[in-house]
Amino acid sequence: MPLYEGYTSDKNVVIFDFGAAYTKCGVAGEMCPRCIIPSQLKDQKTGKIKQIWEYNTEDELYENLKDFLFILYFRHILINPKDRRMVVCESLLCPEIFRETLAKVMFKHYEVGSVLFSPGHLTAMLTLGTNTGLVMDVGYNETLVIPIYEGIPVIKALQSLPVASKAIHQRMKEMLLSNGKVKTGNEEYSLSDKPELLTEEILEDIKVRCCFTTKWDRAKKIHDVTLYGADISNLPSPPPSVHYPLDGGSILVIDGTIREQVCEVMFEQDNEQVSVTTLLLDAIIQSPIDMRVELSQNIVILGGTALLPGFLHRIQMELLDLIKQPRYSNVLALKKFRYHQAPAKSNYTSWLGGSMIGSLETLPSKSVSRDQYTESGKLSDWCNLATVGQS
Amino acid sequence: MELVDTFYNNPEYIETASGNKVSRSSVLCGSQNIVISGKSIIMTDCVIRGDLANVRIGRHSVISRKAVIRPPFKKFAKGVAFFPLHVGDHVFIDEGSIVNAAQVGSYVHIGKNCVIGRRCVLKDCCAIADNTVLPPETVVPPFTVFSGSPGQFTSELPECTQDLMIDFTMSYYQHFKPVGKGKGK
Amino acid sequence: MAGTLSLPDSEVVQYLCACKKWNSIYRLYICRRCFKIRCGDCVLHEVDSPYCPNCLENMPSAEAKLKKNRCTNCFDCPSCGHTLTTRATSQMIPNPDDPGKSTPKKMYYLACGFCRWTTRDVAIPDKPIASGAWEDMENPDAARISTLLEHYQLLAQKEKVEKERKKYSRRRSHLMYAASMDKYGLVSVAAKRKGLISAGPNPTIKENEEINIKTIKEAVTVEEFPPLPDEIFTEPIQLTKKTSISQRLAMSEFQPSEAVELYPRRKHLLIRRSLRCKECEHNLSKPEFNPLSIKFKIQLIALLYIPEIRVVPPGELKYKKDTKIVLTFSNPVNTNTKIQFIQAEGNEGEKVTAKIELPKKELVLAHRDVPAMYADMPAQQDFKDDSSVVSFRKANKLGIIFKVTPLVQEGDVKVCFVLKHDYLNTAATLPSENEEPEIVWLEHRVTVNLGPVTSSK
Repeated sequence: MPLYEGYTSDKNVVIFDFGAAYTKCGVAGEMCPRCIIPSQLKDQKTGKIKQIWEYNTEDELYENLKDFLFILYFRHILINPKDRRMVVCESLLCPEIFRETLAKVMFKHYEVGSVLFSPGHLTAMLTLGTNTGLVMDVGYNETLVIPIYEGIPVIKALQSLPVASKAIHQRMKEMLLSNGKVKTGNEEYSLSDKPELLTEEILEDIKVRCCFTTKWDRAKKIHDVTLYGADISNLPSPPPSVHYPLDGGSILVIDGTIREQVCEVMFEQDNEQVSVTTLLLDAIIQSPIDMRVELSQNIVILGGTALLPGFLHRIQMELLDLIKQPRYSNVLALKKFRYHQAPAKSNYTSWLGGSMIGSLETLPSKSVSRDQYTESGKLSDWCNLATVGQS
Repeated sequence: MELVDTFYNNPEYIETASGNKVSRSSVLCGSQNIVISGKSIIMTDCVIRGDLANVRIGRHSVISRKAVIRPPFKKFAKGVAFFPLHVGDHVFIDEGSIVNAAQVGSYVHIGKNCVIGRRCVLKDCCAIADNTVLPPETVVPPFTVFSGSPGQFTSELPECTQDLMIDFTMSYYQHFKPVGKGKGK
Repeated sequence: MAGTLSLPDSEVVQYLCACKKWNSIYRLYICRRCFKIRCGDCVLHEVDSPYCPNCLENMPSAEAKLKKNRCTNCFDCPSCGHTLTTRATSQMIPNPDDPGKSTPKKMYYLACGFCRWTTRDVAIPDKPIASGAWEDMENPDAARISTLLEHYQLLAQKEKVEKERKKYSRRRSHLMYAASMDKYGLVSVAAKRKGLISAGPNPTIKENEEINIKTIKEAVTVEEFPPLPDEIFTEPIQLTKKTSISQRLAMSEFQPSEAVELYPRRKHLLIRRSLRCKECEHNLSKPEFNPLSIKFKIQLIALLYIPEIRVVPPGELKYKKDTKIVLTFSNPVNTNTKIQFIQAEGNEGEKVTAKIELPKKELVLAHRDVPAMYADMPAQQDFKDDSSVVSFRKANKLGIIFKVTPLVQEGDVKVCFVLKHDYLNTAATLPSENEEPEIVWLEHRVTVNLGPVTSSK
C-alpha cells in the first residue's frame, strides 16, 4: 500500500458525474450534489454556448474539459484540485477517448492526487443497500439497461436504445413546427415561419413544465392512431393547450396533443419491436435463468428523464401488459415486478453512490494515483467492474 | 488598439480650472451639490441629479452621452429620503446607462444601456457588461463582471484591471480634443 | 475599444506564453524565477479566500467547507437568483396580560427586489428575528443515507484491516525483532517513515477484534407507482406555478416542480484565487485577505514588467504594397528599457499573412514616471531619435514605424516578430549583497493583427 493512504482523513474527495446534458458535482459523504449544471461552456467573447461533449479532436475535448473543470472547482466546489482525490461516475458506454482525455486533464493539468472511475449503474446500487438489480438509466442521448447481480454487471445482457430526452426534444420540435402557432399581439403565424424561435432551452423548458407521460390506456389509443393508422376520432380528448410565452411578447400555443404525445417517442416500438420498456424484459431474457426472478423484483430506474410525471407508472403498467404477450410469456414466467426507490432524485442517484464510495477508507486502494498514471502514461484497465461493487 | 482622438465642438464644452470638461447640453440639476474632482468628462445629454442629494465624482472619470446619474432613495415609514452618490476615480460609464447606485468605486467600467438599481454598491475594480439590469441593492465585489437581467456574477476581471482603467480613462481624456474656436473657459 | 470589458480578451496583439499558447498581455503573468511568461493554463490556481459576494465577509476555508460554501446570512431568490432583502413589518399580537388588547411586534420576511417573490408567497411564516431564523429544509432520506454510509464505512474498515493484517503477518517478525533491539527508537521512526507501523488506520479497531457488521435493513421495493392525477387531462396548467429546470436544479436536493415549494437558498460564496508557477512553485499572484481590497501581496502580471504593444490604427493596407504602420510600446517599469527586434523564425501556431520589416537599431523606452503622469508635466527627455524609425515619443511610450507588406488579398493582416528587451532583475539579488541587480534579456514572440486588408478594387 502506498504511503499515500495517509491522505484519507482528508474529506475533500470531489465526486463528478458528467452527464450528456447535466453534470452533477459535489463532495464525498454529502447527500446531494453541490451543483447540477448543464454540461456546457459559454464562450466569453462570442457568448456562444458549447456542449462539452461536442468535439472533433482530442485537443478540443481537452480544452473543453479543462475549462469546464475550472468552473466546477473554482466556482462551485471551491476546493483546490491539486493532490486531492476524486471519483468519476461514468456510463459503461463512456467512450474511451473521453475517459482518457479526462484523466489527462485531471492528472496533468490539475494534478489531482487520484481518480476512481466507477460505473454509474453500480454506484447507484450502493444507494439502495443491495447488490442485485436491473438498472435502467434514462438519460439524454440514450436509455441503457444493465442487470447487476451480486455487484457484477451482466455485460452480455446490456440493452440500449438511443431514445431519451433528446428524442423527446426532437419529436416536440417536429410536432411544433408542423402545427405550432405563434401569436404576437393580434397577429398569428405558423411557427414553421420562424423555426429559429425554438431553441434547445425552450424545448427543454416546455418539456419540463408542460409535458408528461400519459396513462397506458390512453397511450394505446394514441398509438392506434399515430402508428397503426386508426381514425383520428379514436384519439382520447387531449389535455388543455398551453399558452407559452416566448421572448419579445410572442405567445406560442402548445396544443394538448403535443403535451401528451411527445413522450410517446420512448414507448413506440420500432421496427424491431423495441421500446424503452422492452429493454427491461430483453435484459432479463439475456440474463442467466437463475437471476431472472430476482432481477424482476429489483428494478432500479435512474436518469433525469425518469422524473417526467407519469413515467414510472407507465413503465409499471407496460411491463405488466407486455409480460402477458406471447413474445414474452413464452420465455418468461414472471407475474409481477418490484421497483426500488433510491433515497435521492433519480437524476443524481448515481452521483449519490459515488459520494458514498468517495467517503470510504478503501478509496485510495481502488483509485489510480497520479504516480501510477505518470508511470504508465495511461489508465490501466483496472477499471474492471469487479473491484467496485460492494466494498 | 491605441485610442484615436475624439473631437468635440469647442463651444459645446466648458473646461473648468481643474480640467473637467462638461458639455453645455448636459443637465446638471442642483449644481451646488455636484462635486467633480478634476479631469473628468461629462458628455452631451447627460443628466446628473444633484438636486436630490450630493453627487461626488472622482478624477479622470468619464460619463458618456445620455447617461443618467441619480442619487438613490430609500422609503421610510414617513416618506422617502435621498442618499448621496459617490463615484470614484477612473470610472467609465458608457452611453445610455442609468446609475442609481449608492456608491460606485474606483476603476469601474459600466457598459452601454445598463440600469444600476437603487442603492447598489459597486466596489473598486469591477465591470458591468452592456445591457445589464442590476436590481436594487445589488453588491458587486472587486474583480467581478456582472451581466444579464437580473445582473449576476458571470466572469472575473484580470489582476491588471486597475492599470487598465487608469490607462484607459487617462488616454481617453488626452484624446478628447476640441476643434474650432470658441469660448473654452 | 473599451476599458476592461473587451480589452483583456482582445486578439489584436498576442504574446506567446511559455506553454505555447497565444494570449493578450492582460491575461499573462511573468515568473521572476524562471523568466518565462505564464498564462492561466500553465499556472496552478489555488482557492485563496472564500467570501460572500453580498455581505463581502470573509469566511475561513474550514468554515466554508462546513457550510458547503454558502453564506450564513444572505439568501438568493429561488425564483430569479437575485439576493433577497429582509423586510420588517409589524404584526398585532394579543397581549398576554390583557387579552382584550394587542401589541405590535416586529416580524421579518424575505423579499426579492427584482421579481417580487417573497417568503410569504410560499407560506413560510414570518420570523421574529431579522436574521438566523431561516432554517434549512431537511432531506427526507437523510436517515437512510446515513445508515447506508455507516454500514459501508464499517465494511471498508474491515476490508482495510484484513488487508493490512495479511501484510503484517509477513513482515511483522522481522520488524518486531528489530524493534526489540531498538534502544534509541530509530527503527520505529524509520518504519514509520516507510509507512509500515503507522498503517493502523483507526485506533478504535483493535487488530484482533472482529468488526461486527450488522446487516442493514433491506431496501424497500414497491410494486406500484402512483398514476398521474386525472386533473392533468382536464385542468389547464398555469405555467407560472410550475418551476423551470434551472430553478429545480438550484435546489438539487428537492427539485420542486411546483412554484409553491420554492425555498430561499443560501448565497453561494465566491473566492479570490492565488496563482503559482507550475515549474518553480513561486507565487505569481496573491490577493490581499480582505475581499474588498484591490491590492495584491504579490502581483507578477506581465503588464507590469513587459512593454505593452498597441496598434495605431493603420491607413490602407493593400496587397503586396509596402505600408508604414506605427506600433506603440509602453514601458511599465521605472527604469529605461532597451528594446530590439528580431525576425520570428519557425512557426508556433500563428498565421502570418504579411511581411514585416523591423528596425535594426536598438531603441530605448523611457521609464515610467507616475507623478509626472498625473501632474501633466512633460518630463525632460533627451533621446536622439531617428525620425525614420520613431514616429513619436511621449513619456514612457514610443511609437515605432514598421514597414508591412500584406501577402494576402483578403482577410486580416497579421505579422509576427520577436521583441527583445532588457529587464532588471531585482528579485534574485539579496539585499545584503551590494551587487548591482542582474540584467536579463527577455524575448517574447508577438503577433499583431492589423485588421483587414483593403480590397484593391
